[in-house]
Amino acid sequence: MNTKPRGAFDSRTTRYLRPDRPYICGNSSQPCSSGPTGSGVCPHGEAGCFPRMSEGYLRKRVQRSLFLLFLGGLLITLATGGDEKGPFDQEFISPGPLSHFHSQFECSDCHSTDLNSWQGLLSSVWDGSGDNFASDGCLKCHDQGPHALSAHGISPEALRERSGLEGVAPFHDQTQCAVCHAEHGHGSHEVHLSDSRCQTCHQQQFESFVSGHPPFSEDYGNKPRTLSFSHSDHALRHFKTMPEFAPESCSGCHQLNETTGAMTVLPYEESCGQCHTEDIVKSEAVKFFALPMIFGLEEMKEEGMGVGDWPYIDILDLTPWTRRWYQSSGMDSEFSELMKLSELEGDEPGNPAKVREVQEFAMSIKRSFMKDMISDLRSWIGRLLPGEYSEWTSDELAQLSGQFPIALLVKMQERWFPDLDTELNRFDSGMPVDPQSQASEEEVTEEKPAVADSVVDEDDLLAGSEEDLLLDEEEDLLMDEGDLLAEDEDLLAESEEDLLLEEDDLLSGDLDQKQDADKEETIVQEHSLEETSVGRHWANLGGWYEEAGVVWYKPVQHADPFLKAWIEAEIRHGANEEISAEILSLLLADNAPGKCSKCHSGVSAEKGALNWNPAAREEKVRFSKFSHADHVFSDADLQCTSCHEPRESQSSSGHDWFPVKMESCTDCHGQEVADDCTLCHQYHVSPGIRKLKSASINIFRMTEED
Amino acid sequence: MKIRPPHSGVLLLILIGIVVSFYFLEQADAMLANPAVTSGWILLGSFVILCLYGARKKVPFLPIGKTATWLQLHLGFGVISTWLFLEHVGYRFPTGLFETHLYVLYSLLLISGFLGWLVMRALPETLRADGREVNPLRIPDELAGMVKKSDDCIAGLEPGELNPEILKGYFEVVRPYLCSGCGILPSRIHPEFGVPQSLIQRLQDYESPTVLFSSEPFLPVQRIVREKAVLDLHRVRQRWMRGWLFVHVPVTGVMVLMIILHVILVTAFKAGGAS
Repeated sequence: MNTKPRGAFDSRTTRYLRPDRPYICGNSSQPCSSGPTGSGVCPHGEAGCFPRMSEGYLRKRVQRSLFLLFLGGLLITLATGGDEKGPFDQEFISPGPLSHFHSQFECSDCHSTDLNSWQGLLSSVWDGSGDNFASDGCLKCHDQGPHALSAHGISPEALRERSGLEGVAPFHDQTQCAVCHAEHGHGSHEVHLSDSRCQTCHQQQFESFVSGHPPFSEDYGNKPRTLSFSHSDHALRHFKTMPEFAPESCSGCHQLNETTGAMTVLPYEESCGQCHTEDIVKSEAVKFFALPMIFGLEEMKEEGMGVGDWPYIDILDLTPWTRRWYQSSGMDSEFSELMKLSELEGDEPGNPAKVREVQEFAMSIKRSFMKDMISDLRSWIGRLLPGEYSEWTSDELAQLSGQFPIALLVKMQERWFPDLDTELNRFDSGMPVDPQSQASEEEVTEEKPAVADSVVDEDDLLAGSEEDLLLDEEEDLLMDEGDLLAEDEDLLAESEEDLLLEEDDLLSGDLDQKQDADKEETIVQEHSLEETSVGRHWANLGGWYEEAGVVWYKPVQHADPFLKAWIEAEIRHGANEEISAEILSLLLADNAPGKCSKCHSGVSAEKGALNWNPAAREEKVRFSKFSHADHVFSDADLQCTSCHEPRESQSSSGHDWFPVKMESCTDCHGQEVADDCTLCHQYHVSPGIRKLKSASINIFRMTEED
Repeated sequence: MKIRPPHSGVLLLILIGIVVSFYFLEQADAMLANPAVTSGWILLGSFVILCLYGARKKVPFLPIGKTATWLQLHLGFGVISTWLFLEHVGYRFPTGLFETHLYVLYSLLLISGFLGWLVMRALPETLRADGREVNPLRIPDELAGMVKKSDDCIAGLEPGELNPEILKGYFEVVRPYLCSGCGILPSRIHPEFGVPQSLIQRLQDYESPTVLFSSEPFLPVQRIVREKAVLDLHRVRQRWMRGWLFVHVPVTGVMVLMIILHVILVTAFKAGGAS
């Protein structure tokens, strides 16, 4: 290699231009050897040229100018970017528009306000804290539950239990929303969830769906049922005997919900209702309210401890609603034993204390009944409910009341306790309830004025003023005068009218009596109220009625609001109460009124489950997803049975379909089943994933001042 | 166009760079890190390496490898950074104003660099095709020599040897042409006379080009004009070879500023990751 220098690197002694000189001679035809100075001045003065910048120097100047131009422009933009001059106010540094759903948000809704100053922004960079608001902004609206940032959004312990890794410590790591979710995109919300991200935790790797993917579970495709229905029974038995009701295909009862992608059951009226409506209408009525039967009413009366009128109860069975009514009506605890009985013995000779207890209990019932009558429907139904009265909304109370008619309550009173107020007044005044009891009529008549006088005296004492006394005296004097005048008129009237009447009677009396007797004999006894339609017979289309001393409710229709409301109320608010359990056992028994539980297996007192809707997804964690909307075609070769294979007898879990097999996927997709985990699996498994805390969303951009 | 085979060491370094970048991106993805942040940091690293080439040219005396090797490294990392840039932006056009500026500037930087590489590969060959190799910095000096030579030719003529119209044409058209710049586009050369078409059109007002260029005393001047045309072509191509740097280098300086602001904003608004 030739290491000899090529020459002196000195632009001042060479005749060529050199890049290290910023200016070159402006006289291109005859550049002078001395050349311009470093600052671009020609040494020949005015007689010389206008030196030009060298190429390298020009480039450097352009670079410097552009840099300063950008810096200046940037500073000006930031300085004039907004009214507040803070970073949040700078449209220039905004990374892009928000997605449609978030478009109304302010920066401070999702970012820490510490970042809204340049100083805060730089200190955030300096200490590396970043946006310490982190996911709080997201969780203000997105209700992800208490474990929002835990893996899959469920508690670490629940996740460990589900994964079967008992010996492994719960995975308590937290993942911020921004790890996968990105905003400020192209007006859309972006999700970064790749297979490798799944495999951060899921270490068991496999080639593809067809090679190494764990097999489907034994009940895959057979989600927990909310309706007890046997396809095989219907197809092989019922529809053969009644072919007119047999659906032509699966779509006779099922339809695709295009929004959710789920396959649902058609409304009751279009499916089951065509055959089963009569079952509901003809089902038993609910025995809602019944009083206990009291035996020995006559004996009690004779003993002077009668209870007045008391209904004769045909069916001796105290309803749970009645017992709850006892409890919430404030009856004394001394009656706790009697409250359990449907038959009360009032004829125990030699045991007056027992008889007295029965009497007082019966009168307590009457007093509570009286309270209900002077109260309102809301209060009455409130006394029959589980839990606190304040827990119930007006809508719920309306459904729970079944719009119990006042006419029925009045009728109950007329039939059961026709002299309710009198009896209660007598009892509370210390008098025998029955006027013809042991005490003689004389005693009663003697006692009665005394009681009345005493009542008047008390009123007077309460009225108490001197004016009242003066008024009483004046009115008494006037009345005395009036009485005298009236007596004179009566004497005159009696004498004249009586005389005339006596004459008429003499003339016509005998004749009229004879004619009336003849007419009575000619009346045809066509109409009678003795056989009017009452009770069960009248209410054959459902509703309230009273019969045999019991108040009944007969279901009106499918999804009867009254029955449904009571089942829901007891399951939600019963809290394992004994009476609640009893009510639920009555309403959910096999032959219960309305026969709800015959089909609705999703409603269970034991499990506390309350899922009426067959289309409703059960509120539980879901790790996988499948959309029928993407798979249901009009292709004749691809029927429901391509994936769902029927079985003739039900499985232990109540399904009459075999589970869906992996081959169902590969039969169509072959080797091309996408290997992307998220095609079938979802990260957020919480059922509340779609829930939003709407109160957090300031839709109308109201300020605190507003 | 000949493409010089890359230096094996540089090629290896580039391959290592790609593999390491892949590894970090995969690792970051598996660690639930934001892919844009990861690719952003790697991209920043590659940008710094690319800038080092410019710095290397400022210190030619340091024994840190040949400039040619550095250039190959620069080109290699230019390719890597193109891929990283696309990864970083998610293969889409940004929507924010500032990010759009960044995107456009970085694209301009990459495109100018790629065009520069193409020009640097294609033009030298054409410059050598006419047998001349001219140092661009010597061209002004050469041009000055041509003007002087041409003036000498005219001054050495006997009075009356040239038509006065031709002389007038020389002083009003030919000599200004010899003193003029080359522009940025090559002139169209007349196939018969070998001089620019524009010059012939202007000379037609004074004398027929056929007569002019067949005039014996004018032949030396014609030769000089031809040489000037060739030199102009050289000069235009030289300008092209350096012109892209007027975009590439200044934009690099601005990008430094923009990237610093970008890093500040991204770090400040970082919303946390997996822990």
